[in-house]
Amino acid sequence: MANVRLINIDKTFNKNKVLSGLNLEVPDGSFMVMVGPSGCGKSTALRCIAGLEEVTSGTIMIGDKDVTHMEPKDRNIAMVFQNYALYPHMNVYDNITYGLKVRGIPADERKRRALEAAKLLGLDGLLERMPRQLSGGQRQRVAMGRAIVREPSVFLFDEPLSNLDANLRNQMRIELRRLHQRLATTSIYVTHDQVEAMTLAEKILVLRAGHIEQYGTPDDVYLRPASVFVAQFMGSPSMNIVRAKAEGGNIFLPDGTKLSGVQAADINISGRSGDILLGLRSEDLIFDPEGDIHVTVDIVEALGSDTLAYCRPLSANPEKQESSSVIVRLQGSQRPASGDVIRLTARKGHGHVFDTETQLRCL
Amino acid sequence: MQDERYAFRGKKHLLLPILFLLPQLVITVVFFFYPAGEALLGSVYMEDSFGLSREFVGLDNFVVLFSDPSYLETLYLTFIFSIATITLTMTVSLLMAVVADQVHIGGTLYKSMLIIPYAVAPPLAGVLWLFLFNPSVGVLSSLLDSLGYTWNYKLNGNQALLLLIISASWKQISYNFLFFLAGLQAIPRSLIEAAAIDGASPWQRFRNIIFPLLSPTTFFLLVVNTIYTLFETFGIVHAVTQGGPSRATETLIYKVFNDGFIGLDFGGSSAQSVVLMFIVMILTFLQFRYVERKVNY
Repeated sequence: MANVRLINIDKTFNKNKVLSGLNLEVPDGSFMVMVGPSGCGKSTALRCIAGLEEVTSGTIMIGDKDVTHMEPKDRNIAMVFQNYALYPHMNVYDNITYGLKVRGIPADERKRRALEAAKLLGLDGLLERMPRQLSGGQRQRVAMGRAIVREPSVFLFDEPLSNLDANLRNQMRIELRRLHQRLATTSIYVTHDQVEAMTLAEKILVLRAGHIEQYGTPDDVYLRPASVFVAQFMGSPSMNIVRAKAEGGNIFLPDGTKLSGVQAADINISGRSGDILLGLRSEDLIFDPEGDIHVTVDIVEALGSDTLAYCRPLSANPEKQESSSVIVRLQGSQRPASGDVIRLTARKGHGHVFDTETQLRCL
Repeated sequence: MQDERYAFRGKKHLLLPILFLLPQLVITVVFFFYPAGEALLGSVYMEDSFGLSREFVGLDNFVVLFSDPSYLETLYLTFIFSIATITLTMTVSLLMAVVADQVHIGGTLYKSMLIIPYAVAPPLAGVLWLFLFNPSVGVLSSLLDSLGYTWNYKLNGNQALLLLIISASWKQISYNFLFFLAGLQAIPRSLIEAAAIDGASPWQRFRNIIFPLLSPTTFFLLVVNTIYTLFETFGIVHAVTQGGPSRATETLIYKVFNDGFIGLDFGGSSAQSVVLMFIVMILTFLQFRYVERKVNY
C-alpha cells in the first residue's frame, strides 16, 4: 500500500515534449483513471511510473521512496498491458507465478498465492491451459492474476479492456471494481474511454497534450468541467457549446433570444457581462412547447432508452443563424422527424460558462 | 462469379500451370534428380580407371567403404567439423543479434554491415581467411608468431581444421544473424517489459522468455546449418586446405570429390555421396521428429 506522487514530471522524446510539468498525487488505496485523447501522454505517464521510460526531469515517489531512477522490478508495482503480454510458451499457472519464481519465493508459497488469485478471478480450471487456448476475457484475467499474486503496492493498467468486445468490457469493468473493493490497492488506470473513466474512477485525471486539464472526482469532472476541452471530452454525446452573451444577469443567444431557463445567477457569473461560451449537456435541454430555443431537427438517433436529436438552431432572425449543431437528448418515446421545428428550454441551473479566450470555466 | 482458385481445375486447364512450373521443374530435374539418380546408380557399379567399362557389383562399394578405416576417420572428422561450426555460428550470431536489437543509433548501418559476409561466395570467404592466416604472408599468423605461437596450418592438422571452422562459421554467421534478428524483432516488446516488471534480470528475461520464443528460428537454422556444413562448405575446404595436411581436413563432401574426380573411383565416390545423402536425410528427420516437439510455435 502506498500513494503515488509525481512532482514536476517532464518527458521529452527527440525534442518532442510529451509530458510537461505534471504534478499529481494519487492517494493510498484509491483508483485513479488517466483519460485523454490519443497522444495526450497518458500511456507515457503510466510507463514513466512503471519505470519503462526514464523521465526527462522531475521526481516520482511511491510511498516514501523516491523511485525516479529505480528499475521497474524495484518499484513494487505490477502492470496489466493492453495486449495482456502473457508469456505464450508458459501455461496459466507459470504465467501467474513467473514473477514470484524469479523473486525466489518458495514453491509452496507460490502455489498458495496462485490458487488464491485463480479463485478470486475464476481461473480455477484453467491453470494448465496455454494462453492461446484462452478467450480474450480469460487472458485478461490471467494478466490480472499475474499482477495480483505479486501483492504490489500499486497496480498500473494500460488500457486493459480495449481489446475486448463491448459486452465483455462492461462485465470486466464491474469485476475490476469488485476487485479493487476487495484489495484496495492503489491503482492507476489509463483509458481513452470516458465511460470507463467515469465508472471506475475515484479520481479522474484528464490529460491534454501532456498537461493536466483537470484532476478531480468523476462528479467534479462531469458537473464542473474545468475547461471546454474537458466538457466536450467527458460525457457522450459531448457537451453543446454555443456562443452567448451575458448581460445584466441574463444570458442571450447570439440571435438575441433571452434564455429563461439559465440565468447568470444560477451559474455564478452574475458580475460578468460580454461574450461567453455557454455549455449545455444534451440532457439539460428539455423538450418544451413553451421553450424559448427554436431548433430544426436534422438527424434523429433512436437509442431505445432515449433519442438523440441533432438539431440546427433556428432563430427568429434567420440571417444570424449559427451553423453549429446542437444535440438534444429526448425520451425514448419522443421521435421528432427530420425537418421538424421543436422548442427547447435549458434546465435551470445546469448551464456551464466558459471564457471565450481562455476556454476555461468561469466560476 | 467464378472462384479464382478453381480456375485451373480440370484437364483442359492443365497446360498453363505446367508451363508456369516448367522453368523450376527443369532446373530441379536437371540439377537435382538426374545427378542424384546417377549417383545412386553409380554406387552399385564399379568402373575401370579409364571410364571405358563398368560392372554391376551390388553393395560391394558400400562394404569397401565401411571397412576402410580412413572413411570412418572422415566421418568422425566431419562430425567434429559440423558440430563446431554450427555451435560457433549460432552462438556468435545469436549474441550479435541480441546486441544489434538493442542498438538504436546507426542501427541500420550496423545491421547492413553484418549482413555483407553472406554475399561473399564460399571459396572467396575461404581465400580471405587463407590470406589472413597464411603461414608466410598472413597478418594474423605473423601476429601469432610474434606472440610466440607457431601457426602453420599447412603442417598442423588441428590448426587447419580450426581455420576451416572459423572460415565456415564466418560465412554463415550473417545468415543466422539475419534470422535471429528477425525472430527477436517479432517478439512483442510488452512481453519483455512484463518480465522486467515481474522482476526478471536481463539474463533471466533472455533465458526464460526470449530464447524459448526464438526456438522456431533456432530450429530452422539448425536444419539449414547442418546442411550447410555437410554440403556447402566444399568451396571453403577446396580453397583453403584441399583436405590437407595429410587428409586432416578431408570432410565427407570433400572426400566424395577427391576420390571421384581426383582418384577417379566413381563407384566408391558415388557410394559415399549416397551415404552422405542418407546422413542428411536421417539428421533432418531426427531434428523434425524430436527437436521440433520442444519448439514453441
